[in-house]
Amino acid sequence: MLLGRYPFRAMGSPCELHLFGDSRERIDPVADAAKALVLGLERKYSRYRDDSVLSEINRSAGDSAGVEVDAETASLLDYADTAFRHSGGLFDVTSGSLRRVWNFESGRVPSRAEVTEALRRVGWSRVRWARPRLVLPVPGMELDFGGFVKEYAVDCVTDLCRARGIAHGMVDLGGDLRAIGPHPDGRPWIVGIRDPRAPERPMASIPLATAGLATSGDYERCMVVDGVRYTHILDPRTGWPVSGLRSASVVAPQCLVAGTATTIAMLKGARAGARFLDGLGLPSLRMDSRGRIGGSLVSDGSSDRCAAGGRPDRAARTRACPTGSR
Amino acid sequence: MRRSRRERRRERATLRALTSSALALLGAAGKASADTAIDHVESSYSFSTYSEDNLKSSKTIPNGERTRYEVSTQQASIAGPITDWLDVALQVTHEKMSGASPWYVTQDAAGAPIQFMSGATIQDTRNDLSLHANYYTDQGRLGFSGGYSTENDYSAINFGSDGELHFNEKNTTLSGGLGGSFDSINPTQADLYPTRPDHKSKQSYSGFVGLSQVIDRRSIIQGSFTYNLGAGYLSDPYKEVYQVGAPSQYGDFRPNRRHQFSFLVRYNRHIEETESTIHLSYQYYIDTWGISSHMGELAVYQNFGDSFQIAPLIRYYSQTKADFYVDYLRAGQTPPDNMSSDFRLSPYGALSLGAKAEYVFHTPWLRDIEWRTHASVERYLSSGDLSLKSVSVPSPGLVNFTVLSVGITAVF
Repeated sequence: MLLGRYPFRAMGSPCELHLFGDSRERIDPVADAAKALVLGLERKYSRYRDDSVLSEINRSAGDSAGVEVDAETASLLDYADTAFRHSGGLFDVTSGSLRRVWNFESGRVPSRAEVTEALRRVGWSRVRWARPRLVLPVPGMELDFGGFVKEYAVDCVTDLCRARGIAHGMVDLGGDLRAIGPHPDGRPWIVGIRDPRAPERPMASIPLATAGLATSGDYERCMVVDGVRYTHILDPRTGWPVSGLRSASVVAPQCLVAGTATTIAMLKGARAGARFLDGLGLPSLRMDSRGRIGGSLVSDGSSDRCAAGGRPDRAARTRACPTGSR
Repeated sequence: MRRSRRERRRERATLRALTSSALALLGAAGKASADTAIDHVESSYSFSTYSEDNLKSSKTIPNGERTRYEVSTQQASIAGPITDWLDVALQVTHEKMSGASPWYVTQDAAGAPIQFMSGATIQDTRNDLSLHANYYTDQGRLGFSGGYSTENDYSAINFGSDGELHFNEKNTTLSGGLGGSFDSINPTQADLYPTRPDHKSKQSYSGFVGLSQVIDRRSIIQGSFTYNLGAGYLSDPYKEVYQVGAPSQYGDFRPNRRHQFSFLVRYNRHIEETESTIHLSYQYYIDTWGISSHMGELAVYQNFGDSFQIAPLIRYYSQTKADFYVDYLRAGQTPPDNMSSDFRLSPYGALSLGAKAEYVFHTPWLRDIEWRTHASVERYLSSGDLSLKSVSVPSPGLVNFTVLSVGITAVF
């Protein structure tokens, strides 16, 4: 059995597939199909491409007739709706217009007036969503799927690889991960979670056999202006970047659920975010703005207990794994 | 950091909502999760009482027996998985019945029909044992069941099979089933009452097909058709028919075949804003004895947080009479081949009001068992006035009753 590694770039991040198979002939086509799936989702849901489904939806803003969406987009909107309701409005896919005023490449902090103006075009509760028709009632309103489409892609790729006979492997799309299955000898993948302030150093190592792992951190796509760190995670209520947690990681059976949980935790802030993560009952890890680490993954490394069927044996769990994915 | 249970429950509810929404989404992308056998052992116990109101004094003979049926039922069951694709359930029921039952209808001084009740208080118990097994595949479920029930004058054995088949990424489900029951009746005091046969038997065979369709993730519509064939001794050995001026009563004689057809439509809709689900259903029924009926029901399942639910219910029912229903035979009338004064074959309408409460809690100090408790109450009223078609002379035996029920289930 050989391990094929397939690095590529998609969704603005470095991605890599690790697939075990009998031969290159068996695994190369699966990797190609997986890459095509990810690039297809990027093309479909990119805010930056005029020909994307998302751009078509955003162009309909202000049109009271709205736009009819395909089944996959409808299911993503249903998911976004559930996340919005269960996060007290924090997880909001209508934050697109805020992304226009917060350009993290520019190094410029927008004025309060600019942010307030952009906030007038934010709010999932104002959207009329009745499958399959979506109405964005305010001109200039913009959906942004950046908060969950990468995690969704991780789960889709995992399903695709399993359906095409890959039983052992790992999907990594820009740090959002899911184990297709453990190593061929049954050992789990050992994944290091980076220290937000020293990315080269792991602050925890987590075994994954079949579960997903997502991490949100204030170190990705951020800018530091006059000594203040502005992270890319924007609070849809204030329009300003969140502070309080430097990073949050969650293990869940689906990467999508893990990613949504980390995003909501970051938006809730240090105390409420920590309580939220503990309350979920999923294995998690967080670091607050003072560098304090908390969460159930701190003490023990057995993160994969929530994954059905993915119980790494005790010996494998306690042994360091030389072929871990990172 | 102290955390309230309420917060923790809310966050678990969040996780469940996200997970089920994610599964719906990932399923839509081409993956449907299979049905699986129940993955925990469940044990439950319930107790209920069914209690009929006393007959009004104007509806029976002066100083006649007025108390009616009381039934108390205890039920215990245990269910659990055998493998990932097979589960089984065993249920035992013990019922105690007492009270007087309608015997025959006679007339009062003004010629209005009045109900004559059986004088002696009946005391009987019924014991029932049933076994179910379900086999699961990626596409659906196949179940088998069998049961045995026995009481003083009655025994029955039944078997059945039912199944479900999923299509269209599980948005469409076809269901169906077949069943049979073989009953044996040995009426008590057959030597004292010439209208009571010594030993009789009856059989019933039934089949149903149903289709349910998910409309969107908040609503589902279901339709089903059920056919039932009753054959053999379908009469009630303890009921009689009175004739004015005749020295004795006739027996209850019903046709020895009955074809029954019923059509049910159900619509369920979940309202996320209020955390409630509305269940609407309508049933039309018709049989070869001449009875047809309409039934409409509305229930609202209202959640309060993650662990408490209240479900109020209102049900309306109206039926026409059987062709051979008579209250009593007039003087000199030739007795027909088939006749019965049973109020259940008379024309009437009925209204039920009920409510059910459910509360779920965990005992982390006791093997983290999940306990599901419920209590329910239902009040049933029937009369000729409630019928859709006007009823000139309603049966004096029409019944009003109350059902109270409590139960607890432990999920290990």
